[in-house]
Amino acid sequence: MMRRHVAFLHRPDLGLWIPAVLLGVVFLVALFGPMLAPYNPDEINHLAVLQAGSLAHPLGTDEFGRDLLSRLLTGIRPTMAVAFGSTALAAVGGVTLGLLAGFWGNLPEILVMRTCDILLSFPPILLALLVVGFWPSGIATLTITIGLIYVPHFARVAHAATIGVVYQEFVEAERAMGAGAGRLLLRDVLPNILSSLVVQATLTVAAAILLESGLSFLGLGIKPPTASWGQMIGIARGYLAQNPMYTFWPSLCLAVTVLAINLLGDRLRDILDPQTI
Amino acid sequence: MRTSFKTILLAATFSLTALAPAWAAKTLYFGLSVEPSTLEASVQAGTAARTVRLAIHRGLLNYGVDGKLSSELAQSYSVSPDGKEYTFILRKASFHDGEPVTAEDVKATFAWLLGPNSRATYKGELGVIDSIEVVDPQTVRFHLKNVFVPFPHYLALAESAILPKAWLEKNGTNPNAAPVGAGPFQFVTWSRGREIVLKKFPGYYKAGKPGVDELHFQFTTDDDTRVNAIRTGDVDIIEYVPWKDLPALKKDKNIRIESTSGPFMMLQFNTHFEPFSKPEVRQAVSYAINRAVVIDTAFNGAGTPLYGLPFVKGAPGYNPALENYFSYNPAKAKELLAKAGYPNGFKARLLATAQYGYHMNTAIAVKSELAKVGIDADLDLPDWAGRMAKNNAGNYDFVVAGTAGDITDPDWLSNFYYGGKQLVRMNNSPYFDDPEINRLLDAGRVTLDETARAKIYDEFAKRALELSPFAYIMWRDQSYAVRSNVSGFTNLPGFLSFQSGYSLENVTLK
Repeated sequence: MMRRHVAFLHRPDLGLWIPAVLLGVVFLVALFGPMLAPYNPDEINHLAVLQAGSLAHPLGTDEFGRDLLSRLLTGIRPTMAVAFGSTALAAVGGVTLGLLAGFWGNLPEILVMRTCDILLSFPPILLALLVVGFWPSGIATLTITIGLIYVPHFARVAHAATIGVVYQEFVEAERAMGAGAGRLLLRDVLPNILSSLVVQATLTVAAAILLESGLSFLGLGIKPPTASWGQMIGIARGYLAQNPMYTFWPSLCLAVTVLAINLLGDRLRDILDPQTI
Repeated sequence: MRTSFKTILLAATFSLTALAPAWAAKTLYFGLSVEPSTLEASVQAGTAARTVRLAIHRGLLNYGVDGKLSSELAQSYSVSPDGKEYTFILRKASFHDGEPVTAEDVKATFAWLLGPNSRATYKGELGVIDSIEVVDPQTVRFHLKNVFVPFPHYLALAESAILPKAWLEKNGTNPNAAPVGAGPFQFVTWSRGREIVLKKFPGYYKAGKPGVDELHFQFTTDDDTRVNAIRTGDVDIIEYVPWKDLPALKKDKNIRIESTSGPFMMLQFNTHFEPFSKPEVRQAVSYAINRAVVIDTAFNGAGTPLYGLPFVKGAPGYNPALENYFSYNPAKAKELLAKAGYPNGFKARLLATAQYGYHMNTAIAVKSELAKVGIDADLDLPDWAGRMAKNNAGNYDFVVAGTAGDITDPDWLSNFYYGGKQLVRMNNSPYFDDPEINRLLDAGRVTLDETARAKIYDEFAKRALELSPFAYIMWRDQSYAVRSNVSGFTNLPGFLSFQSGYSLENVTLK
């Protein structure tokens, strides 16, 4: 055990660093992408539609003659905003519910956890379609919808971890000394379940990106002409014969990002798991 | 030994005869762009439904492959000198159930169509019928409330098909009843989500037609699926060839493209929305849009700019001087906006649909063009059903519409421009009601003299452009792709493209 721990400290952990660096790049692009974009991503040029890569347009153009590189660089923002926004929402909502359910037990536990079970029994895309069908599409609707869908995932993780902690002796001791529920939950329970939540969060970000892409692909996500990767893939599919690279680039970006997040999550789980240290 | 040899020979011959029809059975597969919502005979439910109905039904008249009125169940008709009585002589024809087509059936059809429970699309126009008189089994006379010059054109619509009286009595209120008509094909099955199957009606009144034994309408809703189906030969004809695929399909040696430039794209303005209540603003929109941008992006270049009214050359009211009434002139657009009190533009909701790429792409191109003159169009892109609901409720500031006139008579304009009682319709600009326009359209309907009539529509054209309740964008190419072993299918000219299903009776397979 000890040896592995030391090795982790001295040798660069590629399984951790490669996805982390990739994600760092993705973040930088999300922050500064619009500044790097050579063209206005919504600018239509009807004389240069569906062109292959060239000096003027390194990745080519779409059916409106819009520059694909510029659209990819700006399309990352709605994608990331939805992914991280909904994950944050799901984490806060799910953790609160899970903590309270695990801490109080009895009726609140039954209500919260059985509702979660019901929600978990539906495929996420089906729930999303249901909600998005009623509200006008847009970044806010998508973020809230996807966030709500992943609340049960966090609630379960938080709940399971909470019951694991809440009956341990040091918690019992504090309780005996008169600590209130708030203090117990925030100072003792939460720090102890943080590692499982971090892992759950990385998984949720990846899933949210895919769900956003799926909804945009179906025309229920980000509203055109604003670009998002999923929406670009959905539209590009129709032009596979005319400009195959139009589908390739956003697909590649999406695949690499999701892969990086998943790899990072896997590695973090290994590292943060107390039993491996 | 001899007998047994004979028996074998005999058996072989029999089995060959039994198999022969199966070999010879000629089946045509037709790829529709959508599954029809209904096959109700009197309801215009889109081109796909029309195509199927035109294979099953015939009217007294129909639009023929040359785009002119053709005598179908009526072999001839005459109009009284005062223009208020139309007498039709029926030909010897029979329905799919074997019963002859008689004057009683014609009377029952229109009584049903105009009845209290009817959902007929053209109930309003056909409401001009005052009474129907059965002169004898082969002669029927329509008495009109007033002179109505375009009357034969409304009878020629696919929605004026003649149905058997007995069938109507039994199924008149059942929209899902299996249809029975007097057309070239009879209904067999409708497998929901998959296909509608029809078979040849041997008793059809045109000798030697139809040329195929079975007709399968398959629902190939996805554009790419439909294109692949025709390329691989899974289907023989497809409708709504996606514009982006036209160049590739034209290169395919096994496929022929039948194109018409008849349908057009336009914007309808809600005249209750404040900026669009002003004609200057509506004109400004027309000046602001570079039509080439829409054509090149949403239609892959397959279209013709429309800077005036969608009048076909030579039609009454067509005036070459007005053909380019508008032009692409953003400076002029800004000037008009300033004059109307919007020097800095305004924000408006533009309704379209995410379901059909050409609608959505037209909206995106229009948005980008209008942004250049300061109009900020906020896109509303629900699915097609949602868009139609908003369209029919007038729940939009302006909307992208793709359509064509219903009939070739200039009275098609009434449906688009007339005010009157119902001020929100599918193809009008909500709440637009101009007394002068109404007067001219009324006059056009009752004027028998052709020169006088042309003059009325000429006057109409000037007024319509001045008020511009619509901004016309382009004529779009409407294409069918047909495999080279299929002959006889015609894309009807101009507006009538949507009624090309009529020509299925002529189709033969090699």
